[in-house]
Amino acid sequence: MASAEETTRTDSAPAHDDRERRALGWMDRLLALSSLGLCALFAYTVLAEVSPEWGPLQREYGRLLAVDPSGKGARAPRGIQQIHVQPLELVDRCTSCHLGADKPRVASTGTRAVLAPHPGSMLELHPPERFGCSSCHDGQGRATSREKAHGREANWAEPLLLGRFVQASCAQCHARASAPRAPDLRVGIATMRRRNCAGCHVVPDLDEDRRFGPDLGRIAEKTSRDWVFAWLKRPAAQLAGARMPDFGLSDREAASLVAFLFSVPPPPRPPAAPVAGKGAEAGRALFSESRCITCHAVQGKGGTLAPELARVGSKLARPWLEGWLRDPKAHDPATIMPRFRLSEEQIGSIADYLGEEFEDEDAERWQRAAASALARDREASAGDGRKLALHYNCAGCHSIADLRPAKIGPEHTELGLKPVARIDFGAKASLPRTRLAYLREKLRDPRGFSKGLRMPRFDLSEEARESVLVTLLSFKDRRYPASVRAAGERRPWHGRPPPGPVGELVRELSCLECHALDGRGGTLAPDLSLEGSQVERPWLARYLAQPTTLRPSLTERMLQLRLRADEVGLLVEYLVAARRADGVKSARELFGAAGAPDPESALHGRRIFHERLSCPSCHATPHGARGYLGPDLSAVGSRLQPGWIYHQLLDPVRARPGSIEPRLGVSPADARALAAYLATLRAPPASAPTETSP
Amino acid sequence: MGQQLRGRASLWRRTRDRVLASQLWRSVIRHGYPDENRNRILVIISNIFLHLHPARVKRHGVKLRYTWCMGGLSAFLFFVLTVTGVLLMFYYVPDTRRAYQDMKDLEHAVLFGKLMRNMHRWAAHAMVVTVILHMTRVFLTGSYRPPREFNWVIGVGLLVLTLLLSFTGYLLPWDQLAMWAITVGTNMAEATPFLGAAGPFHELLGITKHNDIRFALLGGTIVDQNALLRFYVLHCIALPLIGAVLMAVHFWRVRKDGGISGPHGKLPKL
Amino acid sequence: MIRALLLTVALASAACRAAPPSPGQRSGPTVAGLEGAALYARYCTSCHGAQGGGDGVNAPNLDPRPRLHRDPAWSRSRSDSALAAAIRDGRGRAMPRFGRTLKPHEIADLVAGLREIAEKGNRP
Repeated sequence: MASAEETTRTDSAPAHDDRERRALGWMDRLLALSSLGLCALFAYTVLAEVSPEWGPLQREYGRLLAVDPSGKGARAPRGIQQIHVQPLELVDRCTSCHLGADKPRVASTGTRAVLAPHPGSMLELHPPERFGCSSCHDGQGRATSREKAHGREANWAEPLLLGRFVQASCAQCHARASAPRAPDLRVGIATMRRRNCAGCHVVPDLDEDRRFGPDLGRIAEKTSRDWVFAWLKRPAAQLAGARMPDFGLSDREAASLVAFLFSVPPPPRPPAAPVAGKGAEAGRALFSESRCITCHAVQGKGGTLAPELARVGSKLARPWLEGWLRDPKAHDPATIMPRFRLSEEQIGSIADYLGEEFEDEDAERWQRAAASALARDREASAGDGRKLALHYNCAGCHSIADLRPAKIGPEHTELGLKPVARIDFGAKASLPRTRLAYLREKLRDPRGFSKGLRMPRFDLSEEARESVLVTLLSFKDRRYPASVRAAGERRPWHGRPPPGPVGELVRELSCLECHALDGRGGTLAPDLSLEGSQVERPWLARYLAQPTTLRPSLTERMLQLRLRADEVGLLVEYLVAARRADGVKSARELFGAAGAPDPESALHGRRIFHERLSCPSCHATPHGARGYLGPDLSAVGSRLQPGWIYHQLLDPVRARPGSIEPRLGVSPADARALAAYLATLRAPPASAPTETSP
Repeated sequence: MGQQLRGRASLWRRTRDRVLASQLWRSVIRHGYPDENRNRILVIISNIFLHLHPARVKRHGVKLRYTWCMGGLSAFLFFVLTVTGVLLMFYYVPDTRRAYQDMKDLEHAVLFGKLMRNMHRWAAHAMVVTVILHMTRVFLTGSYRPPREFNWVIGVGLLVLTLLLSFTGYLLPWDQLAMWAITVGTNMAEATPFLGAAGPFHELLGITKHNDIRFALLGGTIVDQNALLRFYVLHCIALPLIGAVLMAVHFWRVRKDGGISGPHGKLPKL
Repeated sequence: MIRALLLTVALASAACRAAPPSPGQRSGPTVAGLEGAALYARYCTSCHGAQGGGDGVNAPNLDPRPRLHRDPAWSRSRSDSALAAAIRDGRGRAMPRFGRTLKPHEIADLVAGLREIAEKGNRP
């Protein structure tokens, strides 16, 4: 090499020039080629710039508009279209391609979905000029090419939301539990609450401080080691609709947990003599009379507020069951089960009934399996069990000894915006690299991604899983200003009992698990906020003492709590005095000085009810109406105040916001006549029980 | 036909002579037609743009394979970066709420915005490469040796400026990559001895998190609006200005130190 | 020959009508259908049945019996505006009017929901 250099420098001119020329020829060709390449690149750039993807679409839309009979005079937009929403700092150029999205349908667009109007009536409720497109659909609003605008590029955190997943955006402004037109959000958050995701994760909208599983302090009194072992191994096999997930415990682990749970000394309990009942038949009558199935299901039939009872006879120890029926809240202060005033004999009868009729046909099998497993793992220690209970955060749902709950899972607050790059797909490398695919698989097989994961399996149905997915994706808050947020705060999950002794009673009876006061509380039963203006006082007292069926089509009916007369009096006093509506006419204001309807207008009202309006479709009357949907009106005059009937007839939606009764557009005169008619429908006095008999 | 051509040629000659003799022409162009050495030299030295080049070039100066033109390419890329950078400045606002959106607008809605941005980005990457290759060549050919040792030092300064320009430009898109690159980069600065709050000996100068070199770079303790504005000003004004001055010195020294280096004189003894 | 021709035409026209109106609908319910389904569940199921079978809990008490919605042929014979009018103004004495309870856009969504329920009746 060095000698060649030497030659170059010392050689005479001709040979030197020759070599130079050859070398330059090679360089020349390279230069020419790269210049051509550069020119081609530049030409491509210019072409790409002047022929955007929306060009052909806009021309097509223009042609369609030109031949459309209804679109006379309308002209297709040219160039990039954009919606700029100042308060949201949002620029969406979606309408550059989706030309018809915010316009009436052009008949001739045929099957071109991209040119069609936005389906449904959402744009009427959320005008694009106030909300844009990407505030609901995500994607990349500023982009003007298909792939990029739909957010299908690496590192774009918000790919386009389609179908049911658009609901994930509703929660930015609406409360999940009540978001209108977002059924998946409502179901999803309810499912997440029911399965207590907030036991381990920080979940927005589930920020209440409340235990969801039972208190395990008395587990040793309540049931057997075998049952607890079988339950821990597979909760869903022991109880249909179990809320507890499957932790995938080995026999050894389950045995350790059993050892730990049974090593915790139960809190002291007042001694109670065992009670004898009058047998299962008496228990059955009491069970149905007390309307237990309003909350408990039996073989799938009944409410969902409390556990299914079908196999409870093989689970519970009789002394525990007697104590529980006597006063549930003394056993577990957090339980929602109300206190029924049962006599000792009645307690015994119900215990007889539950023990005899609710036996588990499968009991022998799991008892044998559990017993042999427990015998095998004799060295399973309570210490190991305690470690496991801490590891799996059992205290997130249950209260056990001195264990403290901890949020051991990741926060959900920003889950809907979590960058895909920060998700560990681990062993499931074949999954598509999207947030949705990850979350779906995580719910299906939570521990399959890598070793050492703790999340249990929840065995959700496919539909419930999709709803939960929508809800998980809804955990994103772009902090939109209050001016665009939906009015109305999140409805609190729990009711707030009134102050004083009546509040104590309301708490003891768990009234607000089904009923609501001032928009807070359960949704199963009517809101009682205005009860004092709605019902007649004698009826209320009779009803509380001896509930009757108002809506025959419902499974959930008012519990027979066997209230004492003084308790009924306290509740009636409170509801009548404190729960009144403004602007409801008294009977005197409605019917004149007599305060009673005159027969003529009652007859007129009866005719309107049965011949002019569609009332008989839903309500029953003694005069031929047989509707089964709304309350039976045969004795409504004894139940409702005429002023309230009038008030509700004028505008049922305003009077009872949760009701499905449609506004029929009844005139005040007709409403007065109808109220007069309905006020005459009174219960025969003989059948009415007296106020004092419990 | 022939007559006509001749007529046209003489018309052209007459017009040319008249223009060349006019006062307007002579007030601007001070030299004759460059068909002799003196005029050729005059063409170069009487023009502000051309005089950056030497009037005489050594024979080896046009041989590409000695220098690979890396210095010239670096200067050319700096020119490209200046032009595209100024164009980008018309659309870019260094505001944390707008910076990223402006980037997206440049990409999607501004005519040739994508071209400008891509040119700026690729030229920036290319400039780092060419500057390093340039220095490698200078080192391997021993061109840093006297009398060019001072220019080598200027060159090192220009390398640092090139890297700083690249680093400051990295934050401006205000995306995740930018955020974390600058977070990492300034955290490294925090470990500087004496001047960084996490570096050794910082306590000797009373350096804390709130007065160290990182704070100076970011205008605070986190990467936020102050950092964005600081980096923007550094990237668009301070660093290019210093770079331009150093480049002027660099080119001037090349001329003063005997022109572009070439395979003459002794090779460095290795 | 003529019979074969008529049959072909009839089949072709049937195929055209059965074809979904837009490719977007093939993958699942439209947004309108989704919202309509929620409204349907709230206001209609107790008489018309959850699946549109005309067999809701309250159906046996009604005269005339509620309309069977899970019937594609019936659905295609009614225009959107006729369905909307029936919901808005009620039908006969049994079906109440919902025009003062539901907003026009909600009725439109409900009609879209009805269409999807009807198409479901097509499938086994």
